[in-house]
Amino acid sequence: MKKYERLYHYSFLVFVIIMWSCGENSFSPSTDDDAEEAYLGGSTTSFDATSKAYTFPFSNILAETLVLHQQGDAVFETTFVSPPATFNSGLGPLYNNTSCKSCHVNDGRAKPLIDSEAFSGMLFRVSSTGVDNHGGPIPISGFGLQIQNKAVAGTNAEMKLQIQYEEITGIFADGQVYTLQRPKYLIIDSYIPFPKDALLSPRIANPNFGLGLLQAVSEETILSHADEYDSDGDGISGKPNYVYDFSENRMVLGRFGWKASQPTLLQQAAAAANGDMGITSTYFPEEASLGQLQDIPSHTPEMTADQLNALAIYLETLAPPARRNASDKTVLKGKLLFNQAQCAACHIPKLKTGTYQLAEISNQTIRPYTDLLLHDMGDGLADHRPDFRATGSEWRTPPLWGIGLTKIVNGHTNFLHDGRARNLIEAVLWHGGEAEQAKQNILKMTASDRNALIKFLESL
Amino acid sequence: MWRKIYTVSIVMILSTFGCQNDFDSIRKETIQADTDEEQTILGLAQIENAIVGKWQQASLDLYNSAVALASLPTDEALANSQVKWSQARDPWENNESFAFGPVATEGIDANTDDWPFDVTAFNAVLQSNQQIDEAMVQQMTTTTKGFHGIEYLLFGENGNKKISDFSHREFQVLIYLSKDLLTQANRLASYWTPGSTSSFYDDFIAAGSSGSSYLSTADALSEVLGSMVDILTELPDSKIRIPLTLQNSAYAESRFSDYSWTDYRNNLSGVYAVYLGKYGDIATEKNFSSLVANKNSALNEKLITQFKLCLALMDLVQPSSFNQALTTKQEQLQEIITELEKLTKILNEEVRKTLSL
Repeated sequence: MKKYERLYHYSFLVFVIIMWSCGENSFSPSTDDDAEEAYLGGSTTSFDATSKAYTFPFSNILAETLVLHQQGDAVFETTFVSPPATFNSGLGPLYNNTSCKSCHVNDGRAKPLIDSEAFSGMLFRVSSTGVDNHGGPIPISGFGLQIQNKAVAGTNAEMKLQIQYEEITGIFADGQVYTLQRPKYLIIDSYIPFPKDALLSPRIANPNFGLGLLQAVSEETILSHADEYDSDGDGISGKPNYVYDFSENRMVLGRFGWKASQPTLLQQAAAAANGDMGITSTYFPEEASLGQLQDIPSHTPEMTADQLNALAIYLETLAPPARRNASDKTVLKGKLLFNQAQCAACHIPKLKTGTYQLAEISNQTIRPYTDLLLHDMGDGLADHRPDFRATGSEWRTPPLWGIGLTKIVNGHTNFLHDGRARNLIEAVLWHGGEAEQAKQNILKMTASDRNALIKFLESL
Repeated sequence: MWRKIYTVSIVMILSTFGCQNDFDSIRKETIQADTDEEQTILGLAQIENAIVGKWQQASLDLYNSAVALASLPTDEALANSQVKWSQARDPWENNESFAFGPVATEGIDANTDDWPFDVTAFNAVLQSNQQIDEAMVQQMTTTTKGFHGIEYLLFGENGNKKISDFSHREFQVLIYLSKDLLTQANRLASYWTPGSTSSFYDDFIAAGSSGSSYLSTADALSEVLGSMVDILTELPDSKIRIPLTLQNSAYAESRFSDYSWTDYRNNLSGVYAVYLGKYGDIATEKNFSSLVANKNSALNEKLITQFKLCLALMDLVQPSSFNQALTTKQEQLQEIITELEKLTKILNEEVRKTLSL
């Protein structure tokens, strides 16, 4: 090769490299599939990255559905007051909050209570040892299945609770130290003695969006991911919860709540209205205080059947927000690491909805990052309170869609069923049980890789 | 031969990247636009800082007046506290364009202005023998606290409270409720102060920068515009139409004081101030109005005209007569609803589209 020829070769190579690096953003390694992944809720996806990101109806919502959505929105926003009242009457006699929006601020995720504060979206489920006729938890005499920390005049709140945290430290393979906080709950001012052997489980209010899409995933699809006895030997089971459907009087697949203990959005909405606000309905006509000496019976449903249906449709039609930066190089690297670390074994990225009563939801490809199944998450996260088929250490895989918007929507980054994790990496590090190997894989990552993993989660 | 191939290749690559010039010009425009947007966001934060500062001072004045009223109960002291209540109310109702961030997520709105007021629960507190102190009032349910709890005490259920109607216990509750309101104002002021611990102000003005909750300046602007639209949707609907349709003043926001109409006008004037970037002594050079005018001056003029029309129509109803207007001025109220809905539509559709928000 002649000297000049070689010079041209080198010059051209350098030129191409320079041009390539100048145009780096234009040559992102993303694919069409990555671009599609922005649509977490398929055609229903909303595009807003503000504090209202979780509050929008489906992008493809039909006019007649929108009317019902708006009616349900009004119920969701309703603040109830003590009876008698000209309107919005029916609060209590026992309650945790006065409205749906009080716990689900901006339709989002609550944070743990501070010093038994009045304003909180955290509550406590309780039960006695054993199971009822349907395999569900047994109410505690005088307390029922949930602690109501507030009461109307003339009635005693059941108790207040405080949280104390114990610090735990650990170390990544690269030597970086991390700290976790383990909660401990203190009972204060119990109106009657609380049984020493009672089971108690804290619960943070979950985001409301995308629930209709999860309801529209067929049972067959969900069960196709189940492997209750780990027959494939990968260490990950995936177990369906079967719970009691009060409207059908039979056991059905559970989908909603931290332990998948609610089968439908209608029952979820009715149970929350009843348990959290003391609002009776045709679905649950008795007050939560039923059986207590201080019970004040409700003679007519405080929420009509139409209102309850509208509320369920509101929850059914809130759109998942679109991903941000899905094609960013670091995010793509994090996505790869997420898959390599086996996170995607339970947080299944892609599901398809079946044919459903709302056309907007039917046959959508969605990316909720859940399998809607129960998994043993180890002793660290165990509440030791069974809920139908869910054992004391099993939790439903929580969806990850929209998780990166938690800070802007709710002003915090607390995660897990009790909000103990102060950020996403802490949430990851609390994983155990079936997710122990995934956690070990992450502990071995470099700081750069951990950062990429978090960037990926924040893009959801 | 090689020289020819490379020369042709370089020309082709350059022509491909020739659009770089176009990118540059687009980027230049974008950078310019970003600068305008950043300045607008900074101006918005300064306005919010001023509104909250005014609320903080007015809440302190209200608290001091409540202490004075309790120590020397006279008709004049009661009238003074009623005025201080309305003066604290004004900036709060001006603030609806910033109904996001800590005011929502930290429970400040709920503790300050939950609605409806729970008369039964509040009367039970007054009639009980529970010790009244700061901690007890903090634990009261949000529907018995804040502005409407204080309003109920100062004006009475029928708006005709006299100093002789007060019990000692009511004075005690009044003091602690006013103190709690001041606490909420102090909390919000802290969040909207630059450089404070957990400053939301700093997070907001850093929109588009690494570490900010707002990925882009457009997101931050969309946040404010969304709140402006929300209150202008709520105002003609649940605030005016529902009590008008039901012919029931119990659905009015500040029904004990009959201050609802001033609340509503303050909602509107607050949004207008934010749109223009003018509040009190603050007049920003870059604001929503200038951003819109740069893209579509006719739209800006149309919007300002509509704002002025709505304000003028609202001024035709006497400030303290909404309860009465529900029966005597139904056509006027209906016209206001119609014009407010037009205003909301322009903001939500045309302004959003023009600013690509």
